[in-house]
Amino acid sequence: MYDQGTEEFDLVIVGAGPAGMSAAIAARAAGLSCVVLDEQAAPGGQIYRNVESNWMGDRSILGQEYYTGESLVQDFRACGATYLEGATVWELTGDLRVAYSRNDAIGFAKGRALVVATGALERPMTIPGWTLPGVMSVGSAQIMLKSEAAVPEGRFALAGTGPLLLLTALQLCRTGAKPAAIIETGSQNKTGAFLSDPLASAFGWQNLTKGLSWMRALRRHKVPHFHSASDIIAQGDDRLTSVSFRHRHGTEQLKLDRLFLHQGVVPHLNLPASIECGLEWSDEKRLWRPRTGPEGQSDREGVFIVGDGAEVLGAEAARISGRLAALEIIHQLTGQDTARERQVCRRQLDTERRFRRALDRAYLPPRDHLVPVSDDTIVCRCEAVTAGDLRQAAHQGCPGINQVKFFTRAGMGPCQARSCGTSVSLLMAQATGRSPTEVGYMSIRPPVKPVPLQQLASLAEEASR
Amino acid sequence: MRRDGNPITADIAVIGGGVTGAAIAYGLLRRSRQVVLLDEGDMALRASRGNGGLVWVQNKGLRCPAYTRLSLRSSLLWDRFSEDLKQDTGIDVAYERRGGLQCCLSTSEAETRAGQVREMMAACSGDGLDIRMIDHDEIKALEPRIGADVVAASYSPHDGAADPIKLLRALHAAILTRGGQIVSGPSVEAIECNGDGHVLRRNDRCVEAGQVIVAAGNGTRALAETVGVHLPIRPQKGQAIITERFEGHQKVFVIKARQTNYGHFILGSSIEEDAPDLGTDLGYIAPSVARSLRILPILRHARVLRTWAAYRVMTPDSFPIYGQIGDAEGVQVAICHSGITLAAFHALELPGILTGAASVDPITPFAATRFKEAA
Repeated sequence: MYDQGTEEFDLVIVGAGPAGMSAAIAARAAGLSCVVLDEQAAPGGQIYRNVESNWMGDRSILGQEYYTGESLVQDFRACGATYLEGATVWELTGDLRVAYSRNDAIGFAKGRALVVATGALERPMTIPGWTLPGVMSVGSAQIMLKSEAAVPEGRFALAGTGPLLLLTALQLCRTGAKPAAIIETGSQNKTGAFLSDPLASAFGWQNLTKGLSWMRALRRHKVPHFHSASDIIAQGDDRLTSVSFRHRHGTEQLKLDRLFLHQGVVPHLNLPASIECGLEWSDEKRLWRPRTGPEGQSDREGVFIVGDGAEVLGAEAARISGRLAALEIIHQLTGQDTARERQVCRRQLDTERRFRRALDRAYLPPRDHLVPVSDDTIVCRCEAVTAGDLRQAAHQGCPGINQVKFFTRAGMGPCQARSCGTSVSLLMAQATGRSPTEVGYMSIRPPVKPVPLQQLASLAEEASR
Repeated sequence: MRRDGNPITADIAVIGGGVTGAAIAYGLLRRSRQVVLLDEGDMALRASRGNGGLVWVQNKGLRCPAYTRLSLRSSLLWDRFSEDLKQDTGIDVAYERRGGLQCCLSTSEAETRAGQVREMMAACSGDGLDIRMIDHDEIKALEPRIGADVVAASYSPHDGAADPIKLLRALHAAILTRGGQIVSGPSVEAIECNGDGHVLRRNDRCVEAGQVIVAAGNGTRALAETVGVHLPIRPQKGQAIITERFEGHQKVFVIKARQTNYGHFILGSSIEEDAPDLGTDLGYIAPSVARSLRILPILRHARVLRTWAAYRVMTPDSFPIYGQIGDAEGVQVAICHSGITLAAFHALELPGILTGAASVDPITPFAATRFKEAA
């Protein structure tokens, strides 16, 4: 056998963001044994990355909301779950076992239930030139800020849409690193989307005012802010030198050293897809998500998917959904009656969903930025596959997305389609006049993250000993 | 995709859009025949999407010289085949005949292998077959990165490799370029003989053709049953491991540790009977990686990118089946587990044989009837 040393727990949780941490806290409170595996060096996930030891002296820079993660991380540290930091989970099997790499060795953990809390990923914004050196994602700018208190050098701008774009711009302003511009797609009147949905604005009142206060603060910092931007092109020969775009009042070209792109986040699908959990296309949000039941049940027995990895609703909802899944698991494993608490969680989640619906509508990425218009634009970065290559393959008798993957190598690189999966599916749908549901999502093969050969060989040597 | 339910008509219908079916369809079109290629949907088993791209001779046909000769013949046709595909489609399928190694990690492995080589050479050296055993130093001259544990290897200059991805794509493109029709979608469920022609039934439509060639891999067995013929074809699972791109270049191809033209290594190749699914498992992968590191120790710094498995199309004696099946005139099959090696033969010579334009001699040893005697 090649799973020697497998540790067994009641519950195995992958991911130590708000969803994973909350699930662990709830499970431990009911006395379940629990292991949490996470790739980062400290708990917090993307949202509360490095919250325990952030280098930022001034708390107002990252804002109060970031620091609300502190107490959650404290509770998590104290809850008694086995916490394996720096663990890269690369395989999930139907018997609720995960294989992971940690400290140059392979380990296994098996649960009676398994919670996937692997969060969301930034949606790639495949404008012409998006793969040029100097072009990065807004998320990566924020990671630098949180983990190293580092700000971009030179002249930079942020482009795209979504709350993270505005929040990061504001956080950078507070450090004194003022963006040369914010280039926003979509209409200026974001509040319109909320006001057209009175229920959403009532439920999301706090969040709405928060957004408006960011806008006011950005105006105070006098950041040039362009609205209704389109035809955004990152320009340069071997690295970024400028960006050009259209906006409401004309066209613009700005000299830049760096451009940060963002158009929202989507569930991280690789782990669920690798064990063939069903996925569904949401046309409203223009994304793929795993099919889950009311408590996060996937269609694989014993596997729960929670947080932004199941449905992008933000940190607060992630916390609730992690707890909700744990309550259901507690009920299943111990028989303890958790029905009332689960009902409370489900109501809270519905509230978050209402608000989020309006938010998603306000920040919906334009179709042109989901699938490149130009044939020359790269879609799969790992394998340098362009939109033109994909369109050609789609017309060369490919019955579906897996043949397109095979014909073009799109999605076969180190990121295992994490970045391009949705773009390829949408492009294929467009090119063949079908819906993304008909086209489907690429099959994902283990390992979902690359594994060093030496570690696998050591496993065989141990087994033969 | 057409969904109107009107029947499609063609001189010849080829069932199976993998490398084998597509190569035959391409070859028929080259002979100016009117062809429709029927392909399954996106989730077809498709061994053509799960293979290492080897065009390999040295391990083909132990105790079956006819199969050795067929593989050698196809390998020699590959230059012309890849050249023609490039002319037709602009796609370079990256065929190179660099020679190949099969590595032995102990003296007993080497002795067993040397015995096999002697036997094959005794049978086919007169046909121009060249396989020989070489020692560690000779191997090192061909592949300087070879590990100290490799005591010997069999070497053949005939062996080569192509890019199987580009091959399937080029074949499909060439079929369309030459006016063939590719219809993908639901599987063909039945073949019916109808006067002087045949009707193929799918759940969405029918196809009418004078001649039918079944190249449907593991799906061939069920289709043959519909014309009352039992073909003993079984799926045999093989797992493989793909590494990240790695620097360097192999001067010779090493079976089970081949570097592709992109730089990835393809390691291992399991043989599993009665496998319930196409999952990959560490029980095969870990020891297989350990063996690969003994062959090429530099790979310990590489990472596994992906593992996959596919079903080989296997017969009781492991050799292909070609030609007419049963009494059903005009229904022929073409199945094998080495569709890449044999693709050149399938495209350039088999179509002539199956349409009566060339002698059937090369395929006589591979008739379906040979299994009746065994049964």
